[in-house]
Amino acid sequence: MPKETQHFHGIGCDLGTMNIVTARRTDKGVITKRMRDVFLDLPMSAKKMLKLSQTSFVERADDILILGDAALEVANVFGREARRPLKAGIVSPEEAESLEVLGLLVREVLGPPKVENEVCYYSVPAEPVDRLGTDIIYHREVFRRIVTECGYKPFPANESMGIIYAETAAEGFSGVALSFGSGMTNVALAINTIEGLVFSVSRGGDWLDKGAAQSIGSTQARVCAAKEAGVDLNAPKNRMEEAIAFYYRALVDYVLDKITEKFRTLGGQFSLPKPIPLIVSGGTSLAPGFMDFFGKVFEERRKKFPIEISDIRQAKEPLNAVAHGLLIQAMQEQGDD
Amino acid sequence: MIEAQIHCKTRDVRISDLGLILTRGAVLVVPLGRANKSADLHLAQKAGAVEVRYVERCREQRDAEIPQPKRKILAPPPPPVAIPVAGPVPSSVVPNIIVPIEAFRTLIREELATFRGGLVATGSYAVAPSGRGGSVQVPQEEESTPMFIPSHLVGTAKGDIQVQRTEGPGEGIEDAAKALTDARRKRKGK
Repeated sequence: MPKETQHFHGIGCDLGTMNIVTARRTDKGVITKRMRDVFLDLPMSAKKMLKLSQTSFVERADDILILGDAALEVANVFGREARRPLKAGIVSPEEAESLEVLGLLVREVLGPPKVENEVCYYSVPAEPVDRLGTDIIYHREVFRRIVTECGYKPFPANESMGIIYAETAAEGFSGVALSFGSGMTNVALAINTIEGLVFSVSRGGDWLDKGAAQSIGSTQARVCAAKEAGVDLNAPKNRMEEAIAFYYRALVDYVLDKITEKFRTLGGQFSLPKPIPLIVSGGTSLAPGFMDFFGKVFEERRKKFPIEISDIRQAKEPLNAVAHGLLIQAMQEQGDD
Repeated sequence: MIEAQIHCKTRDVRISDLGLILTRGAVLVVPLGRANKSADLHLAQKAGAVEVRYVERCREQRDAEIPQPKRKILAPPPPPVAIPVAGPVPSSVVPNIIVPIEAFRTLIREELATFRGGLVATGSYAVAPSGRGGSVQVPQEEESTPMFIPSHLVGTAKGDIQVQRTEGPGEGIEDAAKALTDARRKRKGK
């Protein structure tokens, strides 16, 4: 197992609806830790069975918690639905236990700090433009407390701005970043490191799974599994894949519509000296052929798009791009200290 | 049940086989069977002395009335009992306790802190007029609305938790961090 050297400080933590990812610099590169943001609670009587099946679990006073990927596997065995502490990108108001579980998950993924009050940049989504009345203040403060209790100095930072820092250094940190996540899609426009516009839309991978499942009479879990197994959006092979492709198209259309609508409100506030890149990231963008698919839809709308785009490219590591961007900010902050 | 409705259109008409004498404007209803068999009615209708319309009568079906439960007659309430009014308490009996307000506040905060965690932010209160000429305090919602987040979110529960760990070259991260530092210094310099 590689050992992290002591002189690289600062950590980035992407707190997503589906995954929690941290990135830390080492002398050999970057270590990324990932954990599925799901859990399952079982009675104490299941302890023996879990030990026999060598499943990792956390013992509490009166029940057992299974965290991460193992929770999904065990949920299938017990015929139950794994629980998710985050819903639509923010702390789930329906999960009373979510705060405690989030504390455990973040503690495991962050690990102990290398130095006292080590800088930790953690991701916060932007407020959704299509779900009025939702704010991210509670979400941001819950994680500030969790990160502090883990022994770090917390810095909340916008999720899609992380992609800008990770992917557009060559363009002087100018670009449009789209983070197609599970709970929502985050959008950022930045010019020379300055955050021009950030917002989110409340549609993402979960919305897509739900819509496709309802349209063909299947379950959200099955559609999600088929999607993660790999669906070629340009050549669907069966009814489910076709439904997934339809909903991908609807998602991309919706996001591009909202960007156009929102950027137009800026009017002439931003002057772009040259075209900027559009970076696509997030777990929902991992479907095979997504970039071709996205490119085609974008080309149909290029004339109406309010910003001149130089090129469309996918983040080098779509699942880790936000964590990398947050790490860059943490390294810079730690350097300033 | 279908019936024939006979309207008299002339000064008067006699329909012998039905035993009817009708004057202008009279309307009479006879069963359909009888009307069909009447040759005089047929003749009068042909001559335009009467007009025959056929009507269907329906019997309205109503649900049987639901018997209402008999009301129980309650006994009248007992007459009010006069409660003796206590007289004024002499001031010498009431102990005069002086509580230092700041110490009292601290005591309450300490008591609450043990089971309520901390407040993230504090709200402010504005004085709003009340209906009786006085004033009441109305909480003002600010951007940092007070909210309750429990303490010790990161519990001490231990277990074997599997975390997926990968190591990559992290291409460009070092350069990006340097570029970001330079860009921010440049902006500060301006």
